[in-house]
Amino acid sequence: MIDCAGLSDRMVAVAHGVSVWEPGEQAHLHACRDCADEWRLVQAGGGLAHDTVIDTERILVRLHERLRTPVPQLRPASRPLRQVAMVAMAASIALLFLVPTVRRATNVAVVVPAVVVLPELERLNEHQLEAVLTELDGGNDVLSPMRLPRMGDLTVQQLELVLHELGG
Amino acid sequence: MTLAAADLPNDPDLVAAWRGGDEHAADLLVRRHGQALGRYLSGLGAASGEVDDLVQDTFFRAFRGLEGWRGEGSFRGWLFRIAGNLLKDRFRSGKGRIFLALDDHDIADHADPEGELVADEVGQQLVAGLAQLPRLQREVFLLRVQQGMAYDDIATTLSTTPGAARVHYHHAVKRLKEWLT
Repeated sequence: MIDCAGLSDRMVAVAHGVSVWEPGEQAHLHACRDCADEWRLVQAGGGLAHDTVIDTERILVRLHERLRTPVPQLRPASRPLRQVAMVAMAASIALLFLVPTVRRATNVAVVVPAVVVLPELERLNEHQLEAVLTELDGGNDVLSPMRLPRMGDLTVQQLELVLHELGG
Repeated sequence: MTLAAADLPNDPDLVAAWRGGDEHAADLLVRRHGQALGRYLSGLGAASGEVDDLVQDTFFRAFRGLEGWRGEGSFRGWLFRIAGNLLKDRFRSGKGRIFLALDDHDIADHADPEGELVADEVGQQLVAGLAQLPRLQREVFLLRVQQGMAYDDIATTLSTTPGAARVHYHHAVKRLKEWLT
């Protein structure tokens, strides 16, 4: 017994010459209008745009020309911008580890150790570290452990500063 | 001397060779997949005068963005994905056409004139029917029927699941059958 779904699955393979119809399948194709219509469709689809001819040599010449062109390098971020980015990154990492408690579904407070070694923080100078800690102190009432600062959190002035740095 | 298919380097090997500076590897990849890409783009509705540029752009983006191909799907599928996205961008920017016209020379010159006539008719109807399908159904149908891809490959190429690809295919076939009758 040939089922239509099974025959449908084999149509592409037969149309591409990977397989051939069994006698029973051929008989089914003659008897089943639905399968016959699909088979016509698959055959026509298999030959669609068969005469499209590309100019491979021309494509290769142009492709190699383009690939030999150096990739335009983005201008490295300026030093102040790098520092701002480092501070922001360090603050984001610190937020993950320094928030003191995490409440479980049972409402039992679990204390997370607050002493975490962060090499990024060690590289900050006194002012940068102060800025990070100020941000942490000031933001505890609005920042949950799951919410990290995003670009949208920047004030207009901060955003302008970043854009100014990017624009040189 | 003709090399057997098994003697030819496979796509991942050629990609690795190209990464290592072998330009000839890129040539082989273009020769291997360029024609199929051209057919796919034509089937999706690319203007015949733009197919070469689109194929070239597809390979350019592929080679420039090789780190984006992590080898989880076939390189071929990844090329089709890039090509589809390129064409989508062209249509959005108004540079592509709505759908291809089927010229007289688009029909195969079969020995059976009656069969050719039927194929001609069905082919033209199919072109018109494909234009009516949602983009994803059109892409799945072409990857499956024109390119002979398995559902797993189609799923990777179009960032969907094999089951969803199968559903899209059957919806496409159903609508095209309705269109043809």
